Formats: sequence, C-alpha cells, structure tokens
Amino acid sequence: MSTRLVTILLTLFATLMSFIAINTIFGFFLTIPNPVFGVIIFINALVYFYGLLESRDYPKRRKAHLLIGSYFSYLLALFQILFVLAFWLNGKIEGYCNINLQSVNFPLVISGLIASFVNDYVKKAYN
Amino acid sequence: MSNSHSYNKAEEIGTVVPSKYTSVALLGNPNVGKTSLFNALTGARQYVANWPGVTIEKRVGTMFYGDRAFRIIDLPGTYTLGATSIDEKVARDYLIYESPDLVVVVTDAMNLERSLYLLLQVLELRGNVILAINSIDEAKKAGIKIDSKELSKHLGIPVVLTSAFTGEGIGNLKEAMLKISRSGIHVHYLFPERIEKLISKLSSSLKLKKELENFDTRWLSIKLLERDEEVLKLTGIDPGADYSADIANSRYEFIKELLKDSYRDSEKHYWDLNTAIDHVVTHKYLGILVFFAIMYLVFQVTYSFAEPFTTLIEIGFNALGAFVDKSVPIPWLASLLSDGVIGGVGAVITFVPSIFILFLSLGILEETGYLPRAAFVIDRVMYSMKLSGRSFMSMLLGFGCNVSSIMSTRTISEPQERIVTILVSPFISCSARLPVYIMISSVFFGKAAGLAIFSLYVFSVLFTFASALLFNKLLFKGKPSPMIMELPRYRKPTIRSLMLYTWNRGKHFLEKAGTIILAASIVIWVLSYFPTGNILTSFASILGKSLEPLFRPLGFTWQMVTALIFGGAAKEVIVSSLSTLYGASSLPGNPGLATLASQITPPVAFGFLIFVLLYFPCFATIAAIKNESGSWKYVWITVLYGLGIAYLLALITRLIGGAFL
Repeated sequence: MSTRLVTILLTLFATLMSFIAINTIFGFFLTIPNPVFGVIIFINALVYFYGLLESRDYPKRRKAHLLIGSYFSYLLALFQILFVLAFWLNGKIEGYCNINLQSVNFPLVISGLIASFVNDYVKKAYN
Repeated sequence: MSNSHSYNKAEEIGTVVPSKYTSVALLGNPNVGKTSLFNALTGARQYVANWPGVTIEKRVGTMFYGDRAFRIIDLPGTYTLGATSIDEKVARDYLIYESPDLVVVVTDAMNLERSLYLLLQVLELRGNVILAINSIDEAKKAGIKIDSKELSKHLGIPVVLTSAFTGEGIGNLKEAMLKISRSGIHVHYLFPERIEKLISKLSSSLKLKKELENFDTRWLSIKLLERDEEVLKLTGIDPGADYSADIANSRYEFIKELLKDSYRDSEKHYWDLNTAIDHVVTHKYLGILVFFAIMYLVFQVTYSFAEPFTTLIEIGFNALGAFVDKSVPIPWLASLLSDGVIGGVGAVITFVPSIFILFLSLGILEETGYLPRAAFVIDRVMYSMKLSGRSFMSMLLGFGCNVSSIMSTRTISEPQERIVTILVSPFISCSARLPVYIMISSVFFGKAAGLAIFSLYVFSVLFTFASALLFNKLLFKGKPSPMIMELPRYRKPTIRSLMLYTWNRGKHFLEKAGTIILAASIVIWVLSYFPTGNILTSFASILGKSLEPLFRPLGFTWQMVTALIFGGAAKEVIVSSLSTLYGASSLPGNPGLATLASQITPPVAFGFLIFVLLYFPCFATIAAIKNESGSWKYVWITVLYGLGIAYLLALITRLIGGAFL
C-alpha cells in the first residue's frame, strides 16, 4: 500500500467523518440531532487528522492511523445498526413502531461499510 | 501429551495416594499466562484476564498424573523476589516459608529476556525448578524461534515450550513435573568472582546463626548484598555497601549469553499490528479521546441494547404477579407474593440484561488487552492527583463491583496511594447502582436516559479523581509511585472466555437477587403492610417520614428516603423498595410509580441519582474497606465524607437544575 494512497484515504475519511459529525450534531440530513454521538464521531475524524500530521518519513505511523480510524468508523456504524435494531425490537414488543428514516443515520452506516473494506485492505499489510 | 505417557483419569485416580501430594508453585511475571496454565493443568475454570495483576491471592487446584497427585498453587504475578507490593510478598513468602516441592517458573515467549530475570532469582533461592515458556503459539506466529534443548543445557533444568491457549506442550510439562518430583535437581549459576567472594564470606557468618538454619544461606547472602530490608532485619547483619546494581547487571549479562544461541527474534515483530494499534490508542492526546469515546459506547450499549430484553422480563413478571394475585385466596399472602416477592425481586431482575451487557462490554475491553492501555493513557492525569495508572486499573474494576476494586489495590506498592485508592473506590459507579439509574432515568429523562446514565458515570470518575486529590492533600503529603506496567499483547477474545467472564461477574447479581434482595423485599413489604395494612400509616412510612424533614431541602419524598436507608444492604434494594413503596398495587395508599414523575422534578431526580452514587457504600464494601485498610478510621472517613458530599451535591443539583428547568 503506497504512502500516497494512505494519505489520500486519510484525507478523504477525515473530511467525510467531520461532515458526518456535524450532520449528527445538528441533524441536517437523514439523521436526528444527537450532539454527544456527533462528538464521538468527530473523535473518529480526529484519528484520521492526526494521521495526516505524522511525518511522511514514517509511512507505518500514517498507516496505523488509517487502520484504527477505519476500524473505529466500522464500529460506529455497527453500533448505529444495533442501536436501531434494539429500538425497533423494543417498539415491536411494546406494540408500536418508532423507527423512521431519520433515526437510522444512513451517512454514518454507509461510511462505516466503506471503512470496513479499507480496514480489511490495510490489515492485510500486517499479515 | 505423548501417547506412551497418557493415562485415563480413572487409572490416575486409582493409583494416587491422596495424602501424598506433591506441591507445585506456578510463579512468573504478571500476565504471562499462569492462570491459563493453572486451568490447563487442573481443569479449573478460574477467570483469566489480559492484563497484569489479576491473581492477587494464591489459588490451589489438584492434578493427577502418573502415580502422583500434584497440588498446584497459582501465585500472584511478580517481576522480582524483592517484596515491594502485597501480591509480590504473597509469592515470595510462599516460596520461602511454605517451600513447595516444585516450582514452575512461567515465562512469556514474546518477552523471554525479561521473564528470565525472575527465573535466575528463583534458582538462587532453591532447586527443583522447571522453566515453562508459555505463549509459544504467538511467538511462532511472530517468527520467534526458541531452542528449548539449548536453554535446558545451559540452565541445567527442564525447559518446556507451552501454550495454555492451544494446549501445546502441556503433556510435556506434566511429564517434566513427574520426573523432577521423583529425582530432584538443584543448580546454581555463578556471579563474577568479586561478588562470589562476598557471598561466600557472608554465607560463612550466616551458617553460624542457628535461627537461620532453615534458610538457604547463599540466597540470604545475595539478598544482603542487594540490601533487602526484610533480610537485613531477619539476619541482623549489615554488609555495608549496596551491590544490587552489580548483581542485577551480572544477571542480565548471564541472560544475554544464555539467549545468544537459543533465541532468534524476527524483524517483523518490531512493527506489527500490536505496535500499530498502540501507536494510536496510547497517543498522548488522542488516546484519552478514544478512551472517552469507547466508554460512551459501552454505556450506550448497556442501556439501549438491553431495553427489549428488559421490557420482555418486565412483561413476564407483571403477568406472574397478576396470576399469583388472582390465584392466592388469602389477600395478605397474595399481596406479599405479588407485590413483596415478585414485585420487589422482579424489579431488580428486570435489569439483569443491562448488567450482563455491561460485563460483556467490559469483558471485551479486558480480553482484548485495551484496559491496561486505558490505564497507561490516563496515568499522566492520575499523576497530577498523586496517583498512578495502577490505581486507575483498580478503579476500573469498580465499574463491576467496588469490593473487587478495593481488593485489587493489593497490587499498589505505595501504602498511601493504596489507602487513597481504597478510600475513593466506592465513588466509582458499580453495577448495583445501574438499575437505580435506569429506573429513574427512564421515568424522568425519556430518550436522553442513556446520556443521563453516561453523565453519571463520567461524574463518578471525575468525582473520584477530585476526592483522591483532596485525600492526598489532607491525609498524605507523599508522591505517587511511578507506574511501570507491561502492556499485554492484543488478543482476539474467545466466546468461551467472554461468556465465562460475563457469567462469573453477573452471577453475583443473580445470587444477590435470590438472597439479600429477596430478604430485603420481604422486610420492606412487611414494614409497608403492618401494622394497619395501609402504606401511609405503615412502619415504613413512619421511618421515612421521621427522616424526611432532613431531606426536604433536596426534594426527596419519604418513599425515596426509606429506599435510601434499605439501600445500605445493597444498592439494588433501592429499586425493589421504590417498586414496593410506589408500585404495590394491592397495598392501599400507594401512589403508583407513575406519580413519582408528578411528585418530584427532573433536577430532584438527578440529585437523587447523584445521592445514590455518592452516599455511604453497601455493607460488603464497608467490610472490604475495613479489611484492606486495617482501620475503622478509614471506614468512617469514607462514610461521613460520602454522606456529606452526596447531600451537598444533590442540593446544588436541585438548585442549579431548578434555575434552568
């Protein structure tokens, strides 16, 4: 995996997760406002940003940020899916439906899915 | 295990003379897999964690092999045989005073150089030693090659490569134990001539002392040259200069020579997946933020994922209560069973999924090896409070139970740091408080309940740190001991170990539900029913109402005050008390749980939760504080400080919350 590709992916994900964090804090698009969870997503964006701050002379360090950042993004997406599932299941037991398109936070889920592929790719470098 | 030496269990037991056990001590650095090896040898199911300091007391198990019965003793992890902390002292005292027949020194194949230091110290002390190099599977994966035959030749003792995880080499270890138990072996390695002369001089004078005839004089001489305080006191001899640095250097020189021909490291070992993960999660700033994010997710998972299961259990208990109410013809008995027993215990059992999910999440963090990293990143913050990351690890255990948190302070070597950690541990929000948080938060904070619970946990940690700083300033004026902690390798947790972890921790909650909580629920029902059969004129009401004026500034109702009193037995009892006092449908005068929301405001409810978090600990925790600190003074400090500060902060919460809401 070339250093150039690592840098591109770090920049891409840092920007993407920052936008998703702002979107989650204010609830602009396909999500309900959730300020605290938005801050958690921003911490994920910081993992990528800090990777960009690493010196180009140490590509392994940059790669480490991409590895952990993508794993974190995947984990957040998984958490969101399970959270919605639990919410839906509870509504089903109590006899009502409390799920809508807004509560799923699709941008986060989709970015997590993409991050999982990146994570697999980076992890291979260590095996 | 080789086939020629395999025995079936029936044969083994048949040939054993139970009165003649061969005692075998398992000794090694923390987190090298002693407990895993102990489980593999004895078939026990002791919990194994991926962090140092899990075994704080010795554990005993039995193993039958060949014509022998072995009593295996799992000792706490130690880096040296110089007793600096309680757990190290337990290990050293056992070797010196109990003198087991065999000692298996367990080392980590990934960190062999450091692990061998302890082996040399054991060889200085005694014979009949076996070296077990554990985690050989991981070493092979990392490209490390170890020549056990070469090592054995140089050391003069049996060397076995094992993996407690895959079972590799366990049979060979049993075989080595059997062989040594029959023959016996004692070897010494030599220090440089200058040191050897001093040892021999000191040994001669020690041999003249009759009271020391049970001790190995060579070992005593080495310890004297290292200026070991206990040995100086024991022998009454002062060798003058301190040779500890010279002795340590010669041990390391010996290890270096030893490994030259028998150990081959791999280059890929230096920047592997572990190093990459550590580079990010132990980052000076990022590490703290990542820790914060992980803890937020843990508590959100605990609340949100458990909700459907909680609802199901609640529906089940309601149906059972209604059935018993209808089926039992005697009204008071029906009320006792449906409201007292089923209502009280059921109110607590409802939160079992939350408790188990919390332990499962903490188990994942422990098993993967993340928790020691959390202690590492937080060490800098802790140092400013004159504590170390080791205290933080004890505090983390408090999220499960404060008693285990207090017990684990035995690994802290600095006495005043240990006392401060014991004093502040009860302020870490244990799992018993979680049902109270969930019950009150779901009534008052709706969708923000998860956030309210998380904020209580954050507050609990911040308050614990602040209290540590205060206690350090008021009671002590010392410096914290620097934290030297080995970060274990990351491991993929197995389903079995996670289930074992979750069950071992969570079952105490179920046991409590069947004992203390059941008894407390019956007592609360009796006090709520008698003497008039009406809650408003019951003994519970008299008790609560007599103390209620004290809590009026906080806005607590008499039912809340009564629940707080019973909460002394166990914090979960607050839930069953509130459930009976508010929700017992067959008791006249009960207002119903929903009316709680109209009786008090959300700031008062949050103040109540803060009060529950900080007021005096449960009886089991009080007993643990007394035992571990050895003084009632510290119990009183914790109780009075907790009560006073709980009252003050609940009042402030009400006043500030009232101004905004």
